[in-house]
Amino acid sequence: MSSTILSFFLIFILIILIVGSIFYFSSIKNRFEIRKHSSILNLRKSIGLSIEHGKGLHISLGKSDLHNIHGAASLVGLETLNQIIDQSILSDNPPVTTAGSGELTLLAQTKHQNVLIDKSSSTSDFHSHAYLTGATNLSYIAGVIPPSSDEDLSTQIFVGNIGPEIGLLLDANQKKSHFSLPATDSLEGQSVSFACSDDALIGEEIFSIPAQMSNNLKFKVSLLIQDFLRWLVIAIILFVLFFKIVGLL
Amino acid sequence: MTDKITCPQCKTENNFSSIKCVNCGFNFQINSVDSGSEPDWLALLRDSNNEDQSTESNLPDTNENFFDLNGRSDDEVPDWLNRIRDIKQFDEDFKKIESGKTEELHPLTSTDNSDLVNSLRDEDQHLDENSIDWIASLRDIQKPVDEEQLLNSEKDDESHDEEISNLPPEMDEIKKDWQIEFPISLELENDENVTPAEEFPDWLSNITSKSKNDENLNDLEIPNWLTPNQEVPIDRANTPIEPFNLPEWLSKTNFLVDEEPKESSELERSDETENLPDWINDINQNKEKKTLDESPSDEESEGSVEATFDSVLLFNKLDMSPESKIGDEFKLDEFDSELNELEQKINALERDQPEEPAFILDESELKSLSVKPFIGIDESEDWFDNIQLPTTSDDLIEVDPHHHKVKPKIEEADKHVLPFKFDNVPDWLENIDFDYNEIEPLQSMEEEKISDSSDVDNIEKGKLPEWLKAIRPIEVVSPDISRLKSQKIIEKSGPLAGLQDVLTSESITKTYSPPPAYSVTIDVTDKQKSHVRILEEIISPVVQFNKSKKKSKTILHRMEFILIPAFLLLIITYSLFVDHTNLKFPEILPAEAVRFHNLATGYLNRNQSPSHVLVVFETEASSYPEINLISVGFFENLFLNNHWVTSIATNPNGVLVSERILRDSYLNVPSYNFEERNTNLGYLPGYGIGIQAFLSNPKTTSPGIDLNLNIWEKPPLSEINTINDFDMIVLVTDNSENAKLWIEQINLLVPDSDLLLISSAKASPLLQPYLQTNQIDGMLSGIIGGLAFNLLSQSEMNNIGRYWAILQLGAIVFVFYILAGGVISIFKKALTSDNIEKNK
Amino acid sequence: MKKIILVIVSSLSGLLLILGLFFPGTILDRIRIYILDWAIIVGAIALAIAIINLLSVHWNKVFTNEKRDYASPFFIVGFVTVILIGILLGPNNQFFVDLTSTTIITVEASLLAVLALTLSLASFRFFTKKQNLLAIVFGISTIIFLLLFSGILSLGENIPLIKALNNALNSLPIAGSTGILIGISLGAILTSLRIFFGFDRPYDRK
Repeated sequence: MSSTILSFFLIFILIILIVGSIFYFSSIKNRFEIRKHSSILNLRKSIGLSIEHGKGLHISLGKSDLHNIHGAASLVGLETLNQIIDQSILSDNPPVTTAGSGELTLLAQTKHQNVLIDKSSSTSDFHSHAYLTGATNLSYIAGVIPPSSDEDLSTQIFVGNIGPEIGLLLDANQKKSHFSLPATDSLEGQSVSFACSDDALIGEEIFSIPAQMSNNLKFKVSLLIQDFLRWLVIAIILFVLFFKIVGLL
Repeated sequence: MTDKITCPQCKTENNFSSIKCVNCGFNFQINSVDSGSEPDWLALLRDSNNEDQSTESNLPDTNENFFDLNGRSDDEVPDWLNRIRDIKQFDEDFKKIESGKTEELHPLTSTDNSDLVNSLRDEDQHLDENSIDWIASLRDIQKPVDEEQLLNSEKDDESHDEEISNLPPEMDEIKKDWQIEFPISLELENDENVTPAEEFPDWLSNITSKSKNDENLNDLEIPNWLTPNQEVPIDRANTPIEPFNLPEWLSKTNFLVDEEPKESSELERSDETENLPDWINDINQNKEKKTLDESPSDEESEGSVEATFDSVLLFNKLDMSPESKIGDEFKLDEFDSELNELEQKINALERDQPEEPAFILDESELKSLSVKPFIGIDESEDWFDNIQLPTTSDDLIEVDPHHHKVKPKIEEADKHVLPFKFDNVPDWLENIDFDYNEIEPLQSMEEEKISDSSDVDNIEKGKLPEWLKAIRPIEVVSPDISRLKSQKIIEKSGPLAGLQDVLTSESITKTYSPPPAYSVTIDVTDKQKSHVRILEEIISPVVQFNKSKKKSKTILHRMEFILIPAFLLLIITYSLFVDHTNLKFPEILPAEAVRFHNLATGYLNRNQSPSHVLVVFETEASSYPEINLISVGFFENLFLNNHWVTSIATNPNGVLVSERILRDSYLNVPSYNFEERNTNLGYLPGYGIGIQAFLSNPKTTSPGIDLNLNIWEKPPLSEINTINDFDMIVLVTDNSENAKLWIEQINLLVPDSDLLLISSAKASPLLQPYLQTNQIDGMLSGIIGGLAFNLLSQSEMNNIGRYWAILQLGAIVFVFYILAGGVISIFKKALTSDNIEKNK
Repeated sequence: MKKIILVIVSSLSGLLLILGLFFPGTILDRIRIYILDWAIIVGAIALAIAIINLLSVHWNKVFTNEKRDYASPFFIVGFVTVILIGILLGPNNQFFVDLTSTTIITVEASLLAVLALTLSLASFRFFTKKQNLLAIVFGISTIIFLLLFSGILSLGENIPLIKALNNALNSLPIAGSTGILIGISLGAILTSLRIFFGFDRPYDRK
């Protein structure tokens, strides 16, 4: 890797740290309010109704591993699982977590087990609450279809890296009138989810789920930094474009 | 037994020294015995005359009132009555002896009072005119005395002696009369040695000196038993007279104030009084007036001593003693001494004076009597009303008026006497607070007593008969301390109605109240409500939620699931069997496809020797049909030129897909030594890391599928040490993300190598930037790319042409679906809006 | 204490990887390679564990009374068959390859075909569900690109207007996808930095 790239990278990291520190330790963050997405509000409502009615809840974390760029979406899925599972673990129908990766499966099982321990409940069956459905893309989808077609289900959340095959899951949910929230970082998956679902998160809205599900400050600050960087990139693009048009570059 | 006075009216016990009854306010002073010598019964009679002479009392039948008397045995008959009876009996016997009239003897019994009265009346009837005359003469002597004169009898007493001295001229007449009356005794009387039994008393001489107008005294005033012409009512005569049925004049009705005498009894009395000789009436009147005037004062007591001579005499003659057999502790020494004196005088008078009737009462006097000499059930219902209930504690304390006139030492004695022994104290009495302040008025009462005692001087203490004392209420004699400090409530209902100071349960029930009901509502003013509303608007975000309703699936909706896919399948299936030989291919082919073809055929074939081509399969098994259709021409070209092909996959299915695609191409080129020239490195794990590692050091990163076989030592890989040793890298992908990894890593690590890309239609749009930046040398994107390669290489076009036609047809169907769905939704919305408007 | 150790290990690993990337050829690079090798091995083992867990889940579903899944026996039979054949014959055996490839390719291709039919139904109902501006733009763009990538418009590329239109239209999805990908990349960077600095601990109990 060339030194220029390394320098740009280091500058980029430094900017992130500085902006993050400013947002975290100052009161500037209070001026910004995270826009509430209607899909996430419907999700919270649906989760509450599921718990009250004793209906099941299904969370799918996608098929991507953690060691690539799509792992970030999987981590967001894990954090969303963490938020939901605290509320619904002791309901009549505990939530079920499916994943297409071994690492995600183990981490999801760890989450289930920890919550059960905290609630002083039996931890013998947490293995069946979170499991790998398939090693490949469509085998993962094929393994997710049976739990998503459960009659006792009322809410489904797909957060992670899922391709266009998410349409199969969303179509099944629509037939059973389940609430489904697709949130994938795959472009094909986003387009299909937008066509097949009423509540779909497009683009980087997937990274706003933890901030809207919880009141933790770190999520809010992370989201603010992301917005800042986006505006920074936009400014750089415009700047370069301007200079290119002008002929300086 | 403590000194108690039982109120004759309400039968409540009062202290001996009390003036008025605690309960009803009955004045004991007036009705009390003036002196110790005066018998109680007589005092009671006088009191009744003094209190109320005008009240009319319906005297019930004597037989009914004599409850106690009827129950009395013969032994309970008062002695004086017995004496009277005995005397009467003796007189009758004497008459019989003289007249020999045995038939007229009335059977007398000791218990037959009415017979006694009748016998007495018969005597009166049989009186000769002479006897009547001497009575009338006595009446003449005695002037008629009014009530007012009776009240002033004190003054008359002084002149009593003077009147007696004026009797001598008439005394001869009296003697004559006596001789006529008692002829047997005349023999003795004719004897000069026979002297009259006794000298005439003074009162008798006084009577003779009075005018003869007394004869015209109202005969009504004469008691019935003394009237000779009294017609005994048949009812009374025929009624079985029980042993202790007292006559009416002895009945308590005569002494009652409130009782209304019956008309018959009134008539009887009137008749009795009419039949009595006048002199007797006169005597009675004088005596009654004198007795009525007597007051329980020291001054009056002296007078009363004289006035009670008659009664005392009668008692003495009858060997009657006053009924005041009082074990009264409070009997004063003064009264004892006076009593002794009076007794002596009475004895002397009895020798001189004839018998006198014990009780001579007029109707008015009978009515005025308020004392009940005989204890019995008061059949009158007025006793309830007569109970004077004190309302305040002060009233209670003021109950005993006699305390005002009693010496303090008596009160002290009353204090410490408790009505109950402590062993048997009832529970309600135990709870009395002796230190209760409400009993303070005792001091004030004492002060009042002292003050009152100072005001009223020389008021003698009244003697109550024993029976009266017995029925006195306990509260009269009990100290004030024994009274309850509170609860002066009179029960108005229940079995204890009318009683005072009883334990009541009403207070408990009255004090009970239901538990308070606490309201959980919050009083919010309108202003507060408006503030809350404003605050809610500020805080809560404006979010509109779409109500999700589970729509009912219509038939059309259900048919959509079948019709639309079926139509699409129909189109595709039909197009498979349609002849596409006249299909028109595009004339302008994609540039990337042209470049791809040029590199794949020209560059690889520049050398005479076969080239090493690395084929990376980044595809899923689901994309095999499309990838196979696109890449079959390229691989057939490679096999025709005997190039060395090395394949590797970064997903597990990629290995399978690569094997299938290469074998299918091999089937079209059987001359290719597939086993020798084709090497499959297998699955490359780790995605980006694995790619990077493989590109850095392929030998160590990918040992091959067969671990036992070291493929890097065999041809063609024996000549490959680094990635740069490969002549061409071909990336076959249906996933743009994974393709990016390869492209980026290859450009980073192997910048000099040629990279060709075979991608599905799904991944090609996102890989265009890499194409435009020349990071990719050539690309076959979708079926059109494969078609372009086949056209350029002039290979078979039937198969790919057919699918290209189906692809276009399918795209048109999808466009049709989208447009149709849009149009239908617009029409549905318009129809629903029309229906809504129509409904409105 | 346990939390601190975990955070230190995580942060140190990330730091070494970054430094090894920026300083190739040095000992940091070797450390990076070793760490990456260990990560690949851990991932492979995690996949194996997850597959065993999957087997146990389906095994329990076969023998439980509640929510019995009738597809689970097929899974267990297929799983056992393939693993036995692969162990016995080897993964390079043609029979094994043909067996697995035929099964896998057939099933997955069928799923993709079902997806196509599903998308056809979704396209028909698209404007029924959504009736906003974004839906209209999406529909129009779908139509255009369907026609564009199907090759219908390529037939008229002789006409300069159509060619220019094709070129312009071909660049539109690139622009949109690039913007989305930049946003996703920024989010991924920040998520990674949160884990790097210990703010986010998916491996932790809380």
